Amino acid sequence: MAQISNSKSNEPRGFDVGNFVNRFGTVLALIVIFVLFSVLSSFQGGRFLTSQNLINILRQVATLAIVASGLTIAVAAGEFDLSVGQVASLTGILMAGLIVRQELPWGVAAIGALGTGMLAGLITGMLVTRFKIPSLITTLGMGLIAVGVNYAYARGDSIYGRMPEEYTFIGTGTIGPIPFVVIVSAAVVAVLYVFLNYTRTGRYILATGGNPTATRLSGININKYRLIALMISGFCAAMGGSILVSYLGSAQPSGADNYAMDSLAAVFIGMTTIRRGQANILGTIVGVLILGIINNGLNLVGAPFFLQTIVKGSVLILAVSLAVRREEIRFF
Amino acid sequence: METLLELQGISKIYPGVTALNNVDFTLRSGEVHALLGVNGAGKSTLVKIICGAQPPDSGTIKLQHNLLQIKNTADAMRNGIVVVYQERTLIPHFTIAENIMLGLEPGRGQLINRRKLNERADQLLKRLGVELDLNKEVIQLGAGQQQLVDIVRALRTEPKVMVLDEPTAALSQAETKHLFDLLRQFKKQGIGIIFVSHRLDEVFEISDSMTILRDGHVVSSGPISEYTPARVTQDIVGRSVAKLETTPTLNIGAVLLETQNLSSAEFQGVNLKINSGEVVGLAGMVGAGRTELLETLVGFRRATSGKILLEGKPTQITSPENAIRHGIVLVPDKRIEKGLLNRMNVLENLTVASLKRYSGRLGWLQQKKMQEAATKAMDRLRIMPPSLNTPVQSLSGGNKQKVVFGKWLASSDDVRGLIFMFDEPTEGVDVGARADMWVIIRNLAAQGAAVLITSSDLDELMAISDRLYVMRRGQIINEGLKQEFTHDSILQQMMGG
Repeated sequence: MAQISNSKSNEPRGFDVGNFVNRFGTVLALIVIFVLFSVLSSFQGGRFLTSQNLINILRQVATLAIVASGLTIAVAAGEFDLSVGQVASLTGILMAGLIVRQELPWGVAAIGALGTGMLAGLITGMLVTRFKIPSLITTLGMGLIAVGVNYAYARGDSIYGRMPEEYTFIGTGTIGPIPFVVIVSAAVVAVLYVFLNYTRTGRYILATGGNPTATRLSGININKYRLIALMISGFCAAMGGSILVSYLGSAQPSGADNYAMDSLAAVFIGMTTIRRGQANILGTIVGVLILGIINNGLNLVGAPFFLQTIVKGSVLILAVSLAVRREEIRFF
Repeated sequence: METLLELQGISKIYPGVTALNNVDFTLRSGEVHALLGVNGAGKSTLVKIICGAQPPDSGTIKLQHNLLQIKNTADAMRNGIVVVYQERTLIPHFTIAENIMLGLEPGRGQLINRRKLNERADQLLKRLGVELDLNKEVIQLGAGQQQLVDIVRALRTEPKVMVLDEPTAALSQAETKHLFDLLRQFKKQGIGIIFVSHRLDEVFEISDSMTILRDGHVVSSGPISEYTPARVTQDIVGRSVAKLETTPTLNIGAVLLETQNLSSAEFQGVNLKINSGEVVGLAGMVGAGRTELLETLVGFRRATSGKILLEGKPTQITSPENAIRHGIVLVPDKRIEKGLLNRMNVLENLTVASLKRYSGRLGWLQQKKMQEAATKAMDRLRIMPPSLNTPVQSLSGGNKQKVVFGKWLASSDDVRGLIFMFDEPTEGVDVGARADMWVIIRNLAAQGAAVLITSSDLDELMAISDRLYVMRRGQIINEGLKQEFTHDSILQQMMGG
């Protein structure tokens, strides 16, 4: 009987340097940036490489990691969610407001805030799946609506006041040397990782994003999985926003708006590594760390603020353009 | 062989066009039943109805004498009807095993049992004698291998009916042979196979019976013994297609294009010459480097060494735009991917390469001139959409091909001194249009252009070329006048036997 074989499968399995660099190039970049800042900072007192600063970095990126991981799920399903920043800000304001102004127990406030995030994701999902409006446009609109609701509730005020200790512990407490917020963040990211890679729903989300036609023809309801993905994204945005308020002790009306750009950058950087070409959680974390280290490092060496955004933007462009060049990612 | 699938009185009407008109179709178990027809005759619609992607407007479908109500593709699959499509239906970054088992992953509830998944995929692969690393991402596979994964996937639910839509379009000769071996296996298992194809030689090789559609109704149907290629062609086209008489070569002029020792990553030391007034054919297997050579000549790729001479002068061709200005045009293969502006309509696609001819002062486009040119092209090539404003996306595959053809034909009235290159000019095109295209290609040469064509169809090359080159593994290994070759001798040289 004739046999077709893939000639490559019989090649000796040596260590393929080229392939390794491709796959982990971005991680190498992360290490290089880390080393770079360690060196630069050592000329100015060496505050970068201290355990306190390193823990700080983790603390600073913890909430972003949650939001970006939620966004990863949406992108994995083939959708954009540009509203994560404004939804996070809204839910932060709601959280603080429900506690300080309406004097509700923080558990109830949390349900309200997280529920709002999920609702935003649900509405977005409905518009995308029932009315076939592209998620890029829908979430752009939802983000603006979230800003509107935000101002309707708090009129543009920032909200601060006494908050219960159990709640503030989430953002500011430590267990030993490790900030609790980092533990919470790591737990959420781990759950999302397992969800996306090991559960059936996660698999179908990835399939929907990878080739919607093929997935539908396999009898899978792609709209259901798009909806789930967008709800997860909204929920994680809400979680990020609520925890941020605990961390800062107050809620700013647009406090988490920049999460949108940063999360997207992290997700796209993440698509260039670990599981190239697909949105993936570990890759997103690499992206989050790169952004966090750049922020922190530039701060410490006293670089002017504008340099931070320029560097972040350049890193994003560089990472994605290399991946596109190697034809690992294709946009439209 | 008992009746497996029975369609009776199937009709389907889309706005403005009756796609299927009272069609009866019977498939027996254990047979390969070919489905033929011009593009737009209704083949795709019939396939969509059988696999549940579209409901019929009237008529019944019976599977093993039971009436079926198929509401969607999942229904069809559950009843044992699977389709292997032309376009890739795989998830790019999933592994072969994951793709094969998509939607049917073993495991309890949310947890997927990886080991069982890989085992089951491995079983299926082994059963069909396919040796592929099931942990490889399918995006890394070649077209033929992806096709194979598609077919293995179709087997996973032990289907009763298998529909193959132009399965050999992207396959090499060896892969086609392997596919046919698999189909014979399936036949022995009692699976009924519907084989949609344009390639008559393959249809005659593998089919037991056939049905021919034209304009949405069944023209004829019966066992293969009742058909000859001539009768098939006649039934498909509705008129007898005269065998193409190749015009004797009269006016071979000066050398328009010459390459000296042209090399790149995919080919080495290529020396070829094309004169005005002649059609030069380039034969070679898939992977021999033909497409890459043509793409280099048109500036889409760069050569690493060697020279290209136009009318005797060494010229650097730096980009397709540059090449076009030098008078070199490529009508590429996979035209639907590479040659169409998918969001635009027929008029826009036909005129896009020649806009300069319709622009007046200040670059203002003259609609009337554009419409005339587009209509002329449509008539010449017998393109059949309802109107110039039809979005090109909604045309049948063959008509899409003709639009790409037409785009380049519309670009000049006087073709003297121009160099036209065609890569698989009649791939995916029905028999009637094929003959038309051959005439058009020969006419280009007769009017003073130089034509280079490459094709996997040796009959085509033999029919329309004056001279032939044979390419193998990136090198030109033979050349000569058409009369010096036979179908078999070319094949042998291509394969290196």
